[in-house]
Amino acid sequence: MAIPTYLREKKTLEEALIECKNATKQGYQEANAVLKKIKQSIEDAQEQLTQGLDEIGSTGSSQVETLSKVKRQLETVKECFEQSYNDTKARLESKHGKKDAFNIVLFGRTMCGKSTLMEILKKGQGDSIGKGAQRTTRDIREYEWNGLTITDVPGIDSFEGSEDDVLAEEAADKADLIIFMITAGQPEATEAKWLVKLKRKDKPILCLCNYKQAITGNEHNLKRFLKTAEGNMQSAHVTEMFEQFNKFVQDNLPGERIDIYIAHLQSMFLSRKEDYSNISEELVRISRFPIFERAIINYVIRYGVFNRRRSFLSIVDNPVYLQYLQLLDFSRDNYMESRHVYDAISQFKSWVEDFEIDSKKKIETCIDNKCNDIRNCISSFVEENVTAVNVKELWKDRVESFNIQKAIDSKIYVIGSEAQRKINTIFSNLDAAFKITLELNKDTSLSDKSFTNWKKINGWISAGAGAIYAILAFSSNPVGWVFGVSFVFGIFALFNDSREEKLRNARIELTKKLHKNVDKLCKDYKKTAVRGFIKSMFQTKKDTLSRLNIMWHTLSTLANSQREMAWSFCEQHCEISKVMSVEVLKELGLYDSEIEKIKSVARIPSVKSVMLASDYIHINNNNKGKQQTEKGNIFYLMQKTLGNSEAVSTIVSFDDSRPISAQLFFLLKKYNLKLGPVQFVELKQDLKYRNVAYFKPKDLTQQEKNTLNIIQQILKIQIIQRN
Amino acid sequence: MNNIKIIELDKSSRELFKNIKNTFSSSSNNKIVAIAAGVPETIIDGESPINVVFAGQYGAGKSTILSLLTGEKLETGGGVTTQNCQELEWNSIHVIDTPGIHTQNRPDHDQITYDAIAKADLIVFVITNELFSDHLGKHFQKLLFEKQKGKEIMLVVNKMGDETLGNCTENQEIKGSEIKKVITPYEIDELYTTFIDSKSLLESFEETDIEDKEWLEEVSGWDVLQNNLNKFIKDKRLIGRYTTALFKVEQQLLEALAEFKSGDTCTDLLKIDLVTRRGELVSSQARILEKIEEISSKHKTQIQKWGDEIAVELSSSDKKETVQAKLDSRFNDVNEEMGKMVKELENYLNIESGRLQQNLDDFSSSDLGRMTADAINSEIKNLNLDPKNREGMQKAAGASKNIGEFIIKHATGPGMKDGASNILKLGGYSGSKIHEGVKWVGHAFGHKFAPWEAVKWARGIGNAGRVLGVAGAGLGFVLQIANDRQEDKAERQLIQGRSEIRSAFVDASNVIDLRFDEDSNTWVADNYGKAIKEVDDRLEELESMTTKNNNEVAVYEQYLKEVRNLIAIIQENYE
Repeated sequence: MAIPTYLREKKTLEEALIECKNATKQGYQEANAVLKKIKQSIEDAQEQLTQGLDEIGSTGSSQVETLSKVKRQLETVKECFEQSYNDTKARLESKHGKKDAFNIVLFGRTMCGKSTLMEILKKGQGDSIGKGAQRTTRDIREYEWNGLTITDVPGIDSFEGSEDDVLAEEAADKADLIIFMITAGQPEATEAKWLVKLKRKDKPILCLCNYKQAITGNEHNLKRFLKTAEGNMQSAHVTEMFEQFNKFVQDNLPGERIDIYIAHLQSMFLSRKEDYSNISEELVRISRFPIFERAIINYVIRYGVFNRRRSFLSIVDNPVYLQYLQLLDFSRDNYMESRHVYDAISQFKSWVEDFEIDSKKKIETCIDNKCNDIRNCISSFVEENVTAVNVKELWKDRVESFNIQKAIDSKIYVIGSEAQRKINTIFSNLDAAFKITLELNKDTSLSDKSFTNWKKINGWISAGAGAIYAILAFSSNPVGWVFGVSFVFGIFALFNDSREEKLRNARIELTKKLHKNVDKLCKDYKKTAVRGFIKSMFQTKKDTLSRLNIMWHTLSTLANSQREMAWSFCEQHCEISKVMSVEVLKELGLYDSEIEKIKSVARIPSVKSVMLASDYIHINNNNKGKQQTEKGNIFYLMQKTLGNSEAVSTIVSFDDSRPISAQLFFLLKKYNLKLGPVQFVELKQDLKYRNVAYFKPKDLTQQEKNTLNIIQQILKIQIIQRN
Repeated sequence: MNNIKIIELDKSSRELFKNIKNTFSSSSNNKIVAIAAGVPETIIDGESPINVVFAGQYGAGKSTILSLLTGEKLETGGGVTTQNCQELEWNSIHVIDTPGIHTQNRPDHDQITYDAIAKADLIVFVITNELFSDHLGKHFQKLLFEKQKGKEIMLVVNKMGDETLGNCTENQEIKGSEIKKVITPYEIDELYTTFIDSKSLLESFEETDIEDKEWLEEVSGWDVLQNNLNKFIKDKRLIGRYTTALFKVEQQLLEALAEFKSGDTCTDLLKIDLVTRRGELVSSQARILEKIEEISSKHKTQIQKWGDEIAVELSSSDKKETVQAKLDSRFNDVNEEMGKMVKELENYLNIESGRLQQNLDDFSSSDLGRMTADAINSEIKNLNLDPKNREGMQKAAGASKNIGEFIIKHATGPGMKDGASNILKLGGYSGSKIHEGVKWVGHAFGHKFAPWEAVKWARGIGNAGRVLGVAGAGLGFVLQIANDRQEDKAERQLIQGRSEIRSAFVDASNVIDLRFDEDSNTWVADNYGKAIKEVDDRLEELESMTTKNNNEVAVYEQYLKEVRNLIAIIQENYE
């Protein structure tokens, strides 16, 4: 077993950098391997989407416009998956392009002294140092220092400087170490938020407070500086300020504690100038810069190799982790909306079934009632007209006076309006349901939205449920009632004259015949009217269902592909986390037999990580007189190597062969997380990750959300809050 | 200063304030009513000392500056030190220290500061040599432009000693041009921008070296600060004073408006819920009415058909007894017909009530139904609502939840006390009670039901029988000879007899029909009508609440405009 890096005596920076160079290859390969798997899962998701699109095409042929819009939207979604992959790939390649150099990024507000620090390190003439105006460094500048690359980036948080923020963040993503600079003047909450953001990207950070005090300009300034600077830098004011800054950090990342170095950079810079050669040494000493310089070098020697490798991994892990959470959110929204549509479909189907029966009945009753009215007049008609020669014509006139046709028309019109109302209600309820779902889901996300601005990431928002719905809802007119029944009746049946018969018989006969005639009339009307109604209904039904089906297919296809991709991303994230944990334990000099105990790792970068292990992991007793056998100390050392206050823990003997619900309850109990009743739902069989657990909406603290996130990673089931 | 002008302004502001106060008082929202008491009467508030609020970012040195100005010892340091506003005296001016804005993590501090700013006559805004971050810059712009404080604000840049060059003119010019980016179109001088270094002044107190001491005093910029501050207060005193009450009222109007911001989602959810349930009710009601019509029509026709059957076969050969027997048998059938109709309707109502319940349950158990129910309840609980509105909403939520139960309770069914069967049987259309029932209906409708009265019913039949009796068995023969006088008379009597029988049955069917329709429709109105009305009332309440709120909002917005307009007038006229 190799002797752990940090235990070797007096390793020089040069030696460390050579090791870093070697580590580069490994880090790049590891990152690339993960990236390949990501590529695969993106392709799988795209395949799924393509298939979904085909299916949609086959379901809703009548909704051409909607269909093409949906297709375009899904294409955008496909592209944005690809885009995020390409971005990551590009970032990785760009970092790999400078593979030999350990990269330190200087990060901080405008005028915090980044340029001064750069001038010190490159022993420059101070050309780049601003004169108190904001925004002195607008571009990314790189230079060499002791075999390291130093990158100077634009200052963050300057007035109307959001573009600078983007540039700075992009550069920081590629850093192996970040020097986060603040001043003693007034550290702001926003600066602390930036620091936490970088921590969450798994970046190791050294924090430097550039103490500012006038030194040039006139002899008074220098005189006072020499007299008071040292004391000022160690004053209570500075300590209080550091405390305040840490409070801001803890507001965003509880439990974190940042060590802050302090230095007066300007005096260090001046010490090399000829004008100050007589007090050079004094200036160097007062500046306290050498302490910080040594800290950088020590850090690189001590943790450089690990961090070099880690930074390759985290370039991939960071977007993968964030996308895993975001995709799950999208998937959840789309899924829940697809459920609304599903409800609407079954609701519509069962409604239509009843409605058809009811409506047929209504039409028939309407005809029956009318015919009854006619029947009721038969006797008096017979009485009046039994002897009339033109009884046939008279009867026809009488029947027509009842206006059956008009009655049926208006009945069908009423039925049509009812259908139209119902369809409108279904769509407007869907509209409302979608809006409300998005509204209610807003705060239930497990990802900490304040650290990710998805709008900035091109195309991502197009995959969200709101965007899809907007297209489905407004792309075409709602389905309407197609009304068109025409009646063509040969209504009048002939009957025989029976002049020769007795009047009584004539009356009975005529009455019978008229009754028969009305019966036939009734039957004929019913047949035609109902047939016409069914025809109209069929078209309405078809249009409505095809529209709803497009919605359902689109949303569920999207939800499924997003869910699959999310879990695949999650697996990659857990894989990377495992690699990192293994690296850390190797750094700590553990035996392979100990390291092999780790089965998998769930992690929220810089916040919490949980190792599932087959047994308790012990630090090797034989190693260089380190007597750490208590298991708590591993976690402490791991934290230190990771460079933050990440809560590291293990779960030993986790039985993943038990039913998923038992596993969930075990973990909930272990973390003392009370969600109330949990309901399991199994999604479609052909999906790999098909378990979803629901619980009633609850106000969860960020810590509880974090625990839930970890449990979700361990079990690979989506845990959703739902009414 | 223009005295005439201020009198005019005073007059119009008195009027405006009075109106605002009245509107607040008559609001349905108790919180807004509570604001009314604080509305000032006029913009001139006697001779109370002027208020100057020191605002700015935490740690910029507000407390240090105030300690130095007033000689009072205030807590200072590197963290967030000031928790509350502190009032101090300086040259008979009220100076107020604030916790500082824009610590982001302390919205409570921000609120304290905003409240102080709202009451301020004048503001001194303190920043450091690091000038404006994006956030702070945006905030300052909001004060200058949106809040119209640009003419009542002084900008102080502290910690200039932290600059490499110190607090020198060159450096101040560089800073000035940076500040300009944020405050344009205001000029640096318009904001009385002053560069200081309070730490240098503090150090000068300790310094024993005279030269150093003087130099420290100079770079501290303290004299400049005092001069500028005096000038600022002298110049802006009137503007500050006259606008204070207006700013206060502006703040009150904004608070009132904020009361209306919440609650929209809840109202929308309620409406969806109510409208959906109303739809189910109306459909169900329509189905029942349809059924009533169907039953009515069917049975009416049946009864009339019986009459026809008897009438059509009536001939001179018929025996009185035979006809009477036929009539008696049908008379019983007719009596039973109402019972059958009621039974049929009851059966249907049973099916229908189950169906209505099913449909309502389907909605309740759908995702949307569950969501609305939960969201409504939690929204109502969480909302910052006026109690009256809250009560209205809860009532509405309750009504919508109970509609199903309500109808089911009133629907017919075995053992249902006030079910349809009882309501419909009240008339007692069965057995011996038939006559009373007929009379009751006759009264109720003002309709003459002569044929239904036993006597006439019997007479009609009797007449026919008598005629038949006289005509004897030969009638059949007589009927064949059309011109015979006897036969002609017999025929006329027969026609009359047939007509009487038919109209007796027609009238009987009409009475049953009317009674049935009346009773059924009364039942529908009592039950469905009531439920639908209940829903409609709730919807109307929601609607009127929204409208009322919208109106109130419009009024406040109009007032806000007027208040801001007055502020602008004062600022233009009293420089």
